[in-house]
Amino acid sequence: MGSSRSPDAVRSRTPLPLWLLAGVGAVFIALPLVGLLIRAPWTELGAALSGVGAASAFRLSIVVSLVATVLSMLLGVPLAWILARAPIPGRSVVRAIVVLPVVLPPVVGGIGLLAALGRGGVMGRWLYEGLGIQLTFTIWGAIAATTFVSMPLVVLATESGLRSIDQRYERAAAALGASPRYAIRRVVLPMLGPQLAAGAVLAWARALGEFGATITFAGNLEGRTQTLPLAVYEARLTDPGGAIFLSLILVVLSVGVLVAMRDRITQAR
Amino acid sequence: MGLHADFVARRDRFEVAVTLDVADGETLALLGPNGAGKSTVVDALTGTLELAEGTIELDGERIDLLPPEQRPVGICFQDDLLFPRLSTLENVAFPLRARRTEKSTARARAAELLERLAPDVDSSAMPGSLSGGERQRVALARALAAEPRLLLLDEPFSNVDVSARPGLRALVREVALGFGGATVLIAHDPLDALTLAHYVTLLEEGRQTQTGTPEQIRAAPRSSYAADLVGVNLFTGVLEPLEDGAATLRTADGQITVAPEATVAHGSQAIASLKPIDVSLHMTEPEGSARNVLRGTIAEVAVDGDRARVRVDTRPPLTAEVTAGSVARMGLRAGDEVWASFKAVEVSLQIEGNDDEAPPAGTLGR
Amino acid sequence: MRRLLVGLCALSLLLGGCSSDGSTDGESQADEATELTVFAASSLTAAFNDRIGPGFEAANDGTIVVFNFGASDSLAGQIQSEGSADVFASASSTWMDAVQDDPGVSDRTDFVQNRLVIIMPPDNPAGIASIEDLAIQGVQLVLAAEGVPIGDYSREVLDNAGILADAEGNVVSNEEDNASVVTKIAGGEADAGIVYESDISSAAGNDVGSVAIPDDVNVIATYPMAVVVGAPDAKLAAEFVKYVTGDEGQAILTEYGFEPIT
Repeated sequence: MGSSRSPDAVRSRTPLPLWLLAGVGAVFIALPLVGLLIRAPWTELGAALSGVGAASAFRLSIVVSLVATVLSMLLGVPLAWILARAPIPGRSVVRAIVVLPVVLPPVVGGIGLLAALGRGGVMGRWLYEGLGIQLTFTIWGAIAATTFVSMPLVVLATESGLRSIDQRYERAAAALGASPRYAIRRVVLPMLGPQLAAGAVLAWARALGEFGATITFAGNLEGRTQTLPLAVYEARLTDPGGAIFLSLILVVLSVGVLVAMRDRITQAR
Repeated sequence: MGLHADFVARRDRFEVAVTLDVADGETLALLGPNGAGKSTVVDALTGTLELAEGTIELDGERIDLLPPEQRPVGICFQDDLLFPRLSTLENVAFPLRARRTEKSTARARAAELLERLAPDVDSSAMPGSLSGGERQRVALARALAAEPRLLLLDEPFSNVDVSARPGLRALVREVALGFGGATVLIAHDPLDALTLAHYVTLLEEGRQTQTGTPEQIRAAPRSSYAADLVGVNLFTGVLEPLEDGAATLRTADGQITVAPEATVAHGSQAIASLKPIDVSLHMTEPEGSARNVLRGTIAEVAVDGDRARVRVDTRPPLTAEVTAGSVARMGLRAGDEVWASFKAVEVSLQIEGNDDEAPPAGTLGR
Repeated sequence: MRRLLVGLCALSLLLGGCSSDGSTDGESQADEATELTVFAASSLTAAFNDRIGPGFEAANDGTIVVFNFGASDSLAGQIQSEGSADVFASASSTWMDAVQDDPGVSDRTDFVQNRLVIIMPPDNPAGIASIEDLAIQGVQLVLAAEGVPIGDYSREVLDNAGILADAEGNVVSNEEDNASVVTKIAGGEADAGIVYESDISSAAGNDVGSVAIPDDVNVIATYPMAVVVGAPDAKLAAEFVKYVTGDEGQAILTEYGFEPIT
């Protein structure tokens, strides 16, 4: 029996119920997408898109999601490092807090952000009164809300990766003369490559779809804070055709991101 | 001036107390069973573990207060621990680059070392594509890259398969002998220690139980571990092939017949080991197929539970392991004449090549 | 462990993508009680939840009223797609018209009026004193989105006052309903908003400042209510409409800042 089998041989070993259930699952996920494609009023494409501000929503979505992803990596990777390596007291509490946005409804996150960074918020107050900086109703507010929900995903992926790396490499690097910073840069981060990529993709995918925290904290204004999900929400009853097109744009974007990363999301290896 | 270390180190509940003196150019082997504290000693020397008490001096300067990255120590690890995402060349250049050596200088020196120690390895290859033996050679080069003053070799042969070991062992010996500073070799297998080191120190449960040259320990083992250790019969000498494919190994104090796997060149250096259990003792000259039959006087009988070790004054001297029952049955006592026999194929042979310059290690006196 | 984390992430993506439109699901009750499902505009939340609902239940033993509050446009959409409402109380005739078209209504009655009012945070940071102040550049104005009744009414009012273009330039966010506008203003996040009078009544309990809109530019929103075709107990639904338009219902609504139909 050789080690390479023809695909036919493999398929015949998968039980039928598995096929059926998998089929139902696939159809369940695919049907709404197919529905969008079918129900879209393709003949009115141009008018519908300009009517719902598709161009600015698209631009905002790209900018906000990318900036949020970069920020999530910039802050999330060091945070994951501290959680995985540094002997801080109450580490599990800190980790629970950091991961909270993943579990909380995004609207709750938005309300929390208002309480903290809104004009009347705990820190937002002196940002506004002292420095004249206001985050709400601005693109930076959208970025803040999106980073809030994305960063935990980076932390989770990175921390899991750090735990799976043999720490002896870091000790070896030190014994061979590397400062901690050099060892991280030249030894650990390259080994973390796949996990970092997975974290970035997850963060970006989450950022693209972010709605609840954004609309609560940053508000909803075309051209300034209305990302694609917000635009869809506003258009859905007044302009269903436009809403469908906006949704399709989001779908295409998301599919693009996921296909580009292929197996890396589930493997992270 | 070398290494002078006198310290106590603790990890979890385990305490290790050692005194190590290794002069420049010397190699000290640290031997001990699993759990004896060898890796604790290594970590203390590299700086990964802080000392509880005592000091470590290298060439007269204290290094125990320095963090690992500032110690002039080069280390080759048991699991090579080559950085997976760096090429071979980058791995070897790593200690230099970590110390801010300019890139091209570092790479040039790394290439030099690789050429010398692992000439068959592609410098742009990734560690994952190399064999165990090749990786260990690269690791050795990496250890030497930053011109350390203390070389630590942490069980370098463990993860190398048997066929690659002789070559690697020869290389390590060459490196250790050529190394200007002090070398500390951590070993689990006594063969490594006895063939590569000038001095051996035995570590058991965190304490040094014996230190000396291999001969000194062999002559007077002070613990059962030491006794087990030197219980391996060790022969070093030159080979003379015989007509039937076998060979005679001439040692300083006798000769034995061995069975090499391939034809050997006349005059090849070889190291051979024979387990005491494979040596049989007889009161009269035995018949049978064993190629080695030696006659001599019993020097010592040491009974330990239901085993006994019998040292016989044959040429070369042998240690046989028999049951206590046999000792009783045969009435073996010091001074008795016995015949000792063993098969040529039971001798484990390592041919070192026609190396006349380097004296076989382990035979250097001091 | 890694797979669990990935699964968790995937799940969160799914949840994160869900929109929250403020609707509450009705609970399933025991079979003995009759359940009446009422979809009502957000501005009616306090009045209906606190008083109208319990009042009707007290008057009709064995009935449980279940409310679903939201923006009228959103509710109309839900009725059309899910059809699970017995009664629809809308903040504008537009969305009642939509439901009248599909799936159809009966017993349609206008039951209250609501005026618009300008609200500010308690400390009034921008010093709003009149409707014209909303046109001052730099004032951060929050309105409901177009399509939401209060959003359309607000813009009508601003147009009536001749400041629509300037005021629209000041809009920093289009919210999904009046409640969201109130939240933003009460929290001090923006300088001014336009909502219903009912939102600032003491019974509503919102901590905001307010400035009245002159009658000659104000919009009087007329709220229609109707029984939705297909309601399981149309008679009970009609009773509800009668209760709200009756003396007791009207008195409660007046307390909550609404005006009777004129």
